[in-house]
Order: sequence, then C-alpha cells, then structure tokens
Amino acid sequence: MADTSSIEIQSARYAARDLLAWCLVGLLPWLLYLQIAPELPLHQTEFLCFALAAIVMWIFRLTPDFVPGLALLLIVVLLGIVPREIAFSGFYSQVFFLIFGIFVLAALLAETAWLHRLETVLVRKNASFPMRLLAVVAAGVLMTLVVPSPLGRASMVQPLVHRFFQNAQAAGNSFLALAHIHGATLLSTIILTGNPLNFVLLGMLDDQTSNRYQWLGWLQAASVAGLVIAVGFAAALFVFGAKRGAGPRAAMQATDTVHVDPLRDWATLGLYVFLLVAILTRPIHQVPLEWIVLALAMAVFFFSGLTLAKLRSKFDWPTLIFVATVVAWGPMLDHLGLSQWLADQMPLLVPIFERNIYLGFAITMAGVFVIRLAVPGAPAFIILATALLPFAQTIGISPWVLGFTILTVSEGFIWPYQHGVFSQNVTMLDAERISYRMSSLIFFNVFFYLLRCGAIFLSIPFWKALNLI
Amino acid sequence: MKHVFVLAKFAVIGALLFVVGRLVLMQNDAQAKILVVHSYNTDLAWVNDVDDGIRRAAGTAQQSGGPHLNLRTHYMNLRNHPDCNFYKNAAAEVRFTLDDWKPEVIILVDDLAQALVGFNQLALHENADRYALAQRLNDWISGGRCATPALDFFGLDRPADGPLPAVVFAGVNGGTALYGYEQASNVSGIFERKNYDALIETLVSLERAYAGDVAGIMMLNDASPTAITESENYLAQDWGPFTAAAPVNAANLAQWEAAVATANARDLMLLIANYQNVLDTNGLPVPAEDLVAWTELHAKLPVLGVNTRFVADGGMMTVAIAGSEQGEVAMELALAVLNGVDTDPLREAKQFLIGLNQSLVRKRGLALPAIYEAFSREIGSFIPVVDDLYVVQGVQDG
Repeated sequence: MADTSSIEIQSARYAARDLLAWCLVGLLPWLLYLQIAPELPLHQTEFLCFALAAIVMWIFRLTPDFVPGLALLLIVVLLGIVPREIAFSGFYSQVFFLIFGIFVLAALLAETAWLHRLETVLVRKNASFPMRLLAVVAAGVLMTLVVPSPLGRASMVQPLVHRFFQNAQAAGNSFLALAHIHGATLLSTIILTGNPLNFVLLGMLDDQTSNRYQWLGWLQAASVAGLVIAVGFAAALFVFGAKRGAGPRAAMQATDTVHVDPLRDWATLGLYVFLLVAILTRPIHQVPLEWIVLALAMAVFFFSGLTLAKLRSKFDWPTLIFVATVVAWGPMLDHLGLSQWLADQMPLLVPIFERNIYLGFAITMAGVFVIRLAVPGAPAFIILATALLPFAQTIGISPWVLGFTILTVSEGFIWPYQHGVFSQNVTMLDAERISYRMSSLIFFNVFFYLLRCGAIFLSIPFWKALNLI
Repeated sequence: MKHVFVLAKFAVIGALLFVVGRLVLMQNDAQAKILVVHSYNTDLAWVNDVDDGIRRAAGTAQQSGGPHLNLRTHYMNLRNHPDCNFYKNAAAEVRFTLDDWKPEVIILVDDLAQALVGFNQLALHENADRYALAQRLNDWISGGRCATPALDFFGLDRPADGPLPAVVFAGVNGGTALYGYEQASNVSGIFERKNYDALIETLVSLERAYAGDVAGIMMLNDASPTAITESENYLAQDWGPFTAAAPVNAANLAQWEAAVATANARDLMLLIANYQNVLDTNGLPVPAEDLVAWTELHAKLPVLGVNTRFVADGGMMTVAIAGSEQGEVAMELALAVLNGVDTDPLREAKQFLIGLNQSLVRKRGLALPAIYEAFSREIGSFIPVVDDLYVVQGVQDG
C-alpha cells in the first residue's frame, strides 16, 4: 500500500515537472523575444525564440530528441524564415548518408557472435582479472571504431561484463564497471565514427573545412588527445584496478549457447576490412567516405546480411533524424546572418583567447562543465557549438578545434544522470544486486574528466603545429 | 544443393558489384580535377562574379564535350581576417586540400592566393633563385600586418612535392614577377589591370560636367598589399591630360580623412579602388558603406571608384573590371591546359563595368553623357534617385 502511494507521489512529481517544463517552453522564448526584438529583425528574432523553445524541450527531455529539432525546421519553413532547401539540408547532407551507412553496418555487427566467441575463450581459459579488464576495455575501444553510439557499444559489451561480475568483490566489480563504461565512451570523440555528435560537428563545418576531417584527417587532428586519454585510462585501470581485483578467482559458468553463423561473422569482418582499406586508400580512388559507407550498406542488403525485421529493430532511426535536423543549424544561422551576431555576443572571450590561449580553452571547458551540470550531452553540444563555432574564426582557431574541445569535454560525466551509459550501468548493477562502490566510480569519473581536459591542453601545441590554431 | 545456388547467387552479386565499382573508379580517374582558390569570401560581390564566370565557362565546355570536370571551390576569407596568423592557417588548409585531393589545375583568384598558395606550386626554371623570391614574398605578405616572420611561417620555405598542378591566376593587378610566375613553366592567367583608357575617358567626362576647377587626380586606397600594388600601378601609368598626384595608402580613418582634405584643398579628383581595410580607433575595419558614404559626403570634387562594389557601397560612379570575365578566361585557360591546347598563356582584361548612383550625380549637379546611365542600367548597376541619401553610422562627421 505504501509502495503504491509513493509511486503515485513520484508520478505526480514527474507530471508537475513536465507541466513546469512545458510552461518554460513558452515563457523563456517569450522573455527572449522581449529582450532581442528591438535589436534584431523579425525573422531573426523568431528563429532564436523557436530555437530556444527547442533547447528547453531538449533540456527537460520532454519528447524524443529528434522531435524538437524537426519541429523547429517545420515552424521555420511554415513561417518562411528559412527556405526549405536550407532548413532540410541535413537530410541530404554528406553526414546523413554517412550515419545511415554506419548504422546499417553497426546493426549487422550486432548480429554477429564475435563478442560471444571472446567470452567463450575467456571462460574456457578462466582468465585472470587483469585479462578480463583488458578484454572489456578492448571490446569497448574496438567497438568505438565501428559502432557510432556509446550506448549501443555499452549494450553490446554488456553480456561480457555481466559474466565477469562476482559477488562480494565490490572493488573488482567497480573496476569492471569503470572499464566497461569508459571503454565505451572515453575515445568516442577521437574517432569520427565513434559518436553521433561527431557527425553533427562535421556537418556544422563548411564544405572546404569538413573535407579535411574525413575519417583519417579527424583521427590525425585528434591523435594527441586520443593518446593522452588512452595512456591515462590504461594507467588508471591497471595500476589501481588490477591490484584491487586480485583475489580468489571464482570459476565462471559456461556461457549460454548462442546461434552462430560463421559466414555472416567473417563477411562482416570482411566488410570492415574493406572499409578500412577504402579509408586508407582515399587519395588514390577519391571516392568520398559517405559513398563508400553507403555502398557497403547496400552490399549488406544485396547479400541478405540483414532482414527487414532486424533493420527495424536494430537501426537507430531517431538518432539519424535527430542528427539530420541539427546539422542544418549552422546553414540556417548563416542564412539569417545570425552567426556573426552570436559571435559578437561574446566580446569578453576574444581578448582572453588573444592574450592566453590556454586560459581561453580553460574558460571554454569550465563553461561546458557548468552547462553539462544541467543540460544533457546532445543539446549541450548543440547550444555550445552553435554559439561558439562562428566565433572560432574571429580568434583564429579552426572551428573543428573548438568543436572538438566542446565535444570531448561535454561527453565527460561525473554523476549518473549526466550520461546514458553510466546511468544504465548503475541501474543494472542495482537491479541485479551486484556489489560495487559508487565512491570509486565517482572518483574515477572525476579523474577521467580531468584527463579529458588535460588531453585538450596537451593537444594545443600539436594543433599549433598543424596550423589549426 | 541449396547452398550451391546461394553461393552462385552471391558470386553473381559480387561480380555485378565489382563491375559497377570498376566503372566508378574508371570514371573518377578520367575526371579532371580543378581547385578554385579565392583569396576572399562570397561576401564580396567580386568573388561571386568570378565564380559565375568560371561556372559559365565550365558549363560551355561540358556541353561541347570537353573533359568531365570535378570542380571544387575554396574561399580563404582573408579580407575579413587581415592578420598573419590567419593567413598562415588559411594557407595550410589549402595545402592540405592540394595534398589530399591532388587537382590537375588550380585557379587562384586575387593577389594573396598567388603569394600564399601559388608560389609553392611553381615549376621554377633551373636558374631561378627560389630563396630570394620566397624572402621577397614573405616581406610582402607580412608587410604592415606583423613583423616579418621566418620563411617557414607561411610555408614558403619548401616547394610542394609530387606532381605539380598547372597554376592559372586571375584577379592580379600588377605584374606576376613578385610571385615568381615569370620564372616558372606551369603558369597561365588573366590580369585584372585597370582599363586605363576607359578610366581616363570617364575622368574627362566628370571634369567637363564639374563646374569648378580640376587640378588633377589622386588615388586613395587602404594600406593592404593589394592596394599598395594598385598604387604602384597608378604611378606607372600615363594619366594625360591629367596630372597625377602622389597616391595615398591610408591605414586608418585619420589618414583617410586627411587625404580627402588634401584632395579638396588641391582640387584633385579622387580615384578609389580598395577601402575595406581602413581601421578605426578601436583597430577594427570601418564598414565599407560608412567609409564610402563619408567620402562622398566630404569630397569636394567628384569621386570615381575603380571597384565592382563602389556604387553598391554608396559611391557615385565606378568603372571596374568585370569579375565574370576573369573567371571565364581563367577557366578557359584551365581547360586549355587539360586539353593540351596551345594558347596565349597571359591575357589582359577587356571587359569592364560601369556603375552609377543617379541621386549622387544629381546632388553634385553633374550632367554626364547618357551612355553611362544606359550601360549601367543594362548591367544592373544603376541606382535610381532615392530620398534618403546618406545613412552614415560609426564614422565621425567631419
């Protein structure tokens, strides 16, 4: 009886929060309108107000993420604020086809039994704790190369981790969870295909700039940051983790039988090898990455690699639509002449960046941290990127560098509510009554957050050498 | 049995994909890649005019069965960021594209692109002194912007490696010796030298129409490298029947205002070509519209522009080189290289534009030959009489 009433109170609380949030969706844009209407022409004012409404909807997660984006495009087209070709340009941009193709390949990968094979080997050999940690990390990192969704990667590695958890080994379990969570997320911005927001950043750059940041170009520019993060991650896990996890090894149960189709497994691997070769030989064949990926996705269907039913269940349509809607923000702002206006709203940042670039980056990162306390990752990135990318040129920094910094820091998290992968893991651990130490998780999250910031700082000299700053 | 059929089906699909893939690769290979590099950005009407010309010539070539073209355009946006660090990064970005994409021809528009991009792509003659050329260019690019940096700062120290593209220049005002083009074998292009005969004819018409005394002419520009070249060309030209006073390159608003006062005191007609980089007291460029409107308001004698945008920016009259011709001829030269056709590699601009603002002509009480109005109406650069003449903000009156 008590439970029912507490659930009722809880749901009433949620309903009240939603009501309040929807009121803010109306109120905040109206206040913004009063503030900027005397300063800007009608269309520009309207656009900013509707954009703010979409942002508020994102912040409070009132609808699936793609809905506010699509609603904004709809209203700006209906009111004639932005021409249809510009508003919906995300739907035929390079990024759209790139994500479509990568998602098809990732859906195919989810159908294979490679992780199951890894699990079987580890169980058979009764692998040591460091070995298990390594397996979890390696699986997460390898998946970063091919599955462009941290949450998707984490779910795919989940069964493997789950088998390694041991009761009464809170320290070991905590480190396994850390290896799982951060293995799936830490390098997500280093590799173009590691995170849907990377594609959003790519889409926000103009054509001549985005050509430089195709797969290898992106990796090259992010390499120093990636190296710092990888070394820090490995050191933290194996110096602290391996010791704590050492204890009596409980034998793991044999794994469940999983339907294995060797032909599909090897064909999938073959597709990825083909993709890698195509990426490395781009200067020779000159076919853009998005067309290669799309061609491979078509090949998947030619060879009956995915059925329609599997595609419906495994393909992340909402993320694809979400990215397509937000990619057009840059062109829309340019069309309305708002990019420069936004850049002009931050007059204080220019002299700071000009005097001391490290301080400028530190302030930017601190700003990202503060915004991420309240705003989820994707909207936080969109707000910050929209506001700051036009400003990058003014201070003589490549927009990619600023976008990458925002992305890398905003993908960091400390508390469960800040990131889907972390909250999903904690929920799972609690639900299965697996012992772990929240304090250790938080402590290492802080460490990894600082590691991300450090990686950015250490990349600055490298970016200078690449003439990006 | 079923397996055999399935495998055979996969083999057929594989073969089909192979054929299609090969077709794509072969066609890609047969494409001629042309990279157009603009010094400036599309916010400048001139740049769009040049692009129009390039597209027109490319379209004509495609219709007449020319090579299949893969055309990319890169805007360095240097006008909006006149500082050495930005120049360096913009040049590095173009070089990255050149290394990655390896075009057969690069079309470089306006002077800065020649210096920052063209110089490294030259197939220089054996006896050319590359180091001396690079030194001079390094001085020229940094001139007035920053202390001359080391030679590797703008990346001028080492030439591009690998097969060099053909370089086609457009929008070059003076000579090309500075960029080393005269000592290289892979360069062709079109100059943007002013049509001096047309300028002198127009100045004569203005002098006749003006009631007061005209003692001569004076060129007034900002102090950008392009503008300094412009002033040098002005000095080298015979302006008879006019006496040409020494040109002024004003770096800031005070110098600009002083030059206008001098012209007024000495009864000189002003010729203005470049005015986008005149800095105000905060070190920011004065908006072009404000500067031109201020000049129109305060210049005693008629002012003649030598720039596509001068009338759109608020000037009374302009005689300018047509950007579309620059683009069209540059593309024709690029196609000549690709087709291996022998042609005159160096061309002069022949087409020019006239712009007229009728309100300002009336305000000065000038009666100009009707042909100016007719021509500028025809090409859409005529501004009829309006009620509000000047909306000057940001520039102090007087």
